[in-house]
Amino acid sequence: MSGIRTFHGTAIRAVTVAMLVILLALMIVQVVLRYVFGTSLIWAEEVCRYLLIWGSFLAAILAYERGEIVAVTMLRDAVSRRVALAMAIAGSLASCALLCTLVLYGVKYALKTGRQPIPALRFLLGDLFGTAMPIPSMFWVYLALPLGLGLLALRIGVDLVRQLGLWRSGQGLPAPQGPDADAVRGGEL
Amino acid sequence: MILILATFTFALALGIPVAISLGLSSISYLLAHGHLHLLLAMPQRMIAGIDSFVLLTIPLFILAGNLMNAANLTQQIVRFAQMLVGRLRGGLAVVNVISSLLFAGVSGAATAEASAIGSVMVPAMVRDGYRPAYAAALTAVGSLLGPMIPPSLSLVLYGALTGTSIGDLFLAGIGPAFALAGLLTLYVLWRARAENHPAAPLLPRHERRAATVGAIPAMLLPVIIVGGIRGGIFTPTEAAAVACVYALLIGGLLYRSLSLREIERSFFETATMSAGIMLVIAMASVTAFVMGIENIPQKVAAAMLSVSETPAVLILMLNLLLLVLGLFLEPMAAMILIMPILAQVTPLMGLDPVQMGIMIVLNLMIGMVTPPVGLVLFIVGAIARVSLEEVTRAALPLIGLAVLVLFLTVAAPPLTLFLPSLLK
Repeated sequence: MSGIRTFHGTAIRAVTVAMLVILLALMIVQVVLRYVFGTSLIWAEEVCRYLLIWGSFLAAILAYERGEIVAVTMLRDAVSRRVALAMAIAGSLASCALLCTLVLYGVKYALKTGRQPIPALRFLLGDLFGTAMPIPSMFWVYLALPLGLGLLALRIGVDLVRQLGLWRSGQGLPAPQGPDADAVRGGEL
Repeated sequence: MILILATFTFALALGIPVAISLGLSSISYLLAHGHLHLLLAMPQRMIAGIDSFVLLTIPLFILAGNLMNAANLTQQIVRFAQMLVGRLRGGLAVVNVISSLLFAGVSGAATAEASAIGSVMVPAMVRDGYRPAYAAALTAVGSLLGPMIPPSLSLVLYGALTGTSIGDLFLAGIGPAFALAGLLTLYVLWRARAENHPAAPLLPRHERRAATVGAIPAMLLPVIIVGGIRGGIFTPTEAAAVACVYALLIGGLLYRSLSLREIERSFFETATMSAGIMLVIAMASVTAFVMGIENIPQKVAAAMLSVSETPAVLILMLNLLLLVLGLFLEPMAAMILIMPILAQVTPLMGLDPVQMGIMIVLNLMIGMVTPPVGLVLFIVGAIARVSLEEVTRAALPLIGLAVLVLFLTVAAPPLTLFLPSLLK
């Protein structure tokens, strides 16, 4: 289990960081081109937007793991551990159901409306390889949503399995953790 | 409407993330009303919600802030603030406020600001004998300066949603930010006198030059951003990219404190932080769409207008609505949901769109320092190891000051509009 986790963690981390690097590089190239060479890349703006879409959905699972997706656990922290576990199970179930629906309709949406070629790539690949080059369709942009949310659903599913295991063995939800070391680093002065 | 609200509240109470609660409330409405054909609109709205060139500003400004923070800029800023105001009675409390003000120039969000300033200032203040809850509360309310001073993620989103000039918005936020910083300073000085808080240790003479040099880059960044946007040199999105390069240069060359590993970590943290924000924006876009089917914006607007059509009363009602929304939602989500209502009532309120933007952002930010969804309170509470209840109680008078600035923002147009008009 932890093997899979570290794998997806490292892989997605590498991909999303790379996307952000490309995004930043493209923006900088764009500014430099405009001021130094008086020209610009017509496809850059669009590619940057698609990078934002891909990066956002793909990193959703990491955001969830790092607690960047905000939840209010006030009530859950106040009740007995057993009740808290029941709440957590209900929450995970509902989240999974929503995400699975979104994955299903996300794929449908991508298949149904994603047929036209990506405009930016028509310029980019057309310039590079001539007009005969087949251009990937918008499907590949829209695919980010079902893929990213699917990963998030899997991740929450893993939590759910663990919570159900706790439930069956008669335990409660572990007590809320204190502040993580990350939040209190520094502190010199 | 009731179904949407009930599902959302119930899901939130269960501890389901805000973004997913928004999605659940939307889908439960679609299912309950048999709008199955509209389920296909959910992914479409989510993608459309974040498919915006201006929104690219958000990850880039987060990255610039993270890089600056990784380069130990926070410590530099705090040292500089200590040199300026540390000798006053209640020195560290004032240092906290001034540091928040300076750090606001590199950070675009209250949360980033609270964790950066809080991790340095809260332990320092506690060591100096301040109550942890007071240190945490001051950091929390001080972090509201983050989104008021350029760069500001919330102002970018407001600009993107309404088409208001982001350059103007960035300039307009500065006045209220200084008003809040001023009021907070007066308050902590008064508290220091009443409770006999100590002065901070004097910075050794030989360190003063280094402290000043170290803090200059932080003060220059907002100037570059606003100057660049207003001067027509680059678009807001490009300004954010330039800010990242600036942060890399400052951290790598001037401070020499930025290793490749830390740069990678900053990029990674940026990716996850902005993914969290984008997920909320995407889900809120779906909820706004569903509310649109129900004509909720029109109904709310009509209800407001039926109470009164006087601008002052309308503004008051809008602010109350925003405060309530801000209690339960993150600013970004609240802004997306409120926009359609705004479109209906704004023309009657007689507020400049720029002034309105500052009002909305400041109002929703106050929601960040009030429970139940008070992200900033969670952060500072975790740093200071005090309960949410304690921080909230300590923050109440300070929140009062923020509400006063909100009132001034509405009542005194020059507070926001003077700077943009000056630099036309």
